[in-house]
Amino acid sequence: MKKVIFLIVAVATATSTISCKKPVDPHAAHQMDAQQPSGASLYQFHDLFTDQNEKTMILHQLQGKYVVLAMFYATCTAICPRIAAEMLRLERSLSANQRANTRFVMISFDHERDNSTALRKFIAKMKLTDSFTLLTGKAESIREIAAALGVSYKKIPDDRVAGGYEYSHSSVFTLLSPQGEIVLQHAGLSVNVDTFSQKIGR
Amino acid sequence: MLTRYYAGFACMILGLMSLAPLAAADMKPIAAGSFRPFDLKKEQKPVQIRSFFLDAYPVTSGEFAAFLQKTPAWQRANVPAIKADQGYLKNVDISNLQSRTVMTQVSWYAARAYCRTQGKRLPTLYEWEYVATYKKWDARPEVNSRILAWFGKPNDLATDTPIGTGLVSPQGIHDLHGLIWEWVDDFNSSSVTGDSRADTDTESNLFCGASSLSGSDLRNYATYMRYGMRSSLKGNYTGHNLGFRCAKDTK
Repeated sequence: MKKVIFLIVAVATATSTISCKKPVDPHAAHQMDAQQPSGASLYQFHDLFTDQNEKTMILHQLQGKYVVLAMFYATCTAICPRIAAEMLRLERSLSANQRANTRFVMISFDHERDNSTALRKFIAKMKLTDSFTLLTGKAESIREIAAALGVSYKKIPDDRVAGGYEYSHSSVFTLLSPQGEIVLQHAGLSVNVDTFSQKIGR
Repeated sequence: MLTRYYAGFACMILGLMSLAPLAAADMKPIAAGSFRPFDLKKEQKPVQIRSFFLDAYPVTSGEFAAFLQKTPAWQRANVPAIKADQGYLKNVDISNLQSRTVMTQVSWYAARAYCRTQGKRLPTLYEWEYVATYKKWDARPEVNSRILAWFGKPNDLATDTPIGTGLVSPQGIHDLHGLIWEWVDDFNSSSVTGDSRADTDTESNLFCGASSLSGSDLRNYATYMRYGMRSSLKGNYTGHNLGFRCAKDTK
């Protein structure tokens, strides 16, 4: 009986210790020394993404620069090239200082087809600059980021394209502060370059 | 000694179980089928739904309270604003584990986390709609009138409403209509329709579609309201009338 009680106490203690501890961040090694993001920051999402150079990263690593963020997929022929072109147009409108302080990030919906090679192809096709980071990730991670940004998307069957599906999606441009907080969002096909530019520190 | 101890314990648990009403965590099997969701184009094939399990009732505030005790990361003070807005857990009595009032004031991120800890997931939008409109039971006058009456109620009533007070679907699922709105896993797919790739004004398309609904199409009106509501959400939103239930794959 004593043993049983001891066991119960031991288990209870262990459980309470575990549950009271702050969750250990499995990606801690990826994190920069910089300050912790605020509660409103997109950098509260610690999921791993992969960029066009096969590098894995967490969004928190974008901290320190303004980020112009949009979602897309590489084989999209309708609005995604337009989204990329708008981001390029915004980049060209920025001062040299602003450009140095801004990353352009495009996150793909298409976790199945958009590997790093597909992302590189899109970069080449659209002549995107070195300021662009294109990311792919797990379906779950993508859905959670889209939900935070208010981006809608849906996979729809389409026999006419390779793979047999496309994505139907909305277009939202988001400006993140250097701490990852949403400064500005613009839904639609074109960026209001002046509005975005005004918010990016000179 | 040990055996007796365990036996007594087991009897106590069994005793409690038999006294309790149908456990709120009960799930119902939903057989595979197909249906035409509201946002399907005429030329598109019906959507196939695989068999799955769905919670018979929405999650209660008592169940959510138990989750919070075990998962401090989702307690109000610990959740970042981007995953739950200021309304999170507001006016929800999280000290009462026995409460059978319907859980609301909960964000999509928190709802997902809850289901995950139960070894479950949120239902997909089409799974939810399939059950909610199964064989057009929602078009029955008594069902439809109740849904429409609910639209007219002030929106802060759900917090105090016990589960099981709404309608029961033909598949034995409670409270799908007339009690709360419910989160679904892909809520952020609902403003997009078949050919919106070249058109971001999908919400206004839905809106225009809605204005053309005739008075005899009130069932679609209720469905339209659900789609419209979902497309207005972000993952961290909470509301007096927004709750959830979990689903599970059939193995």
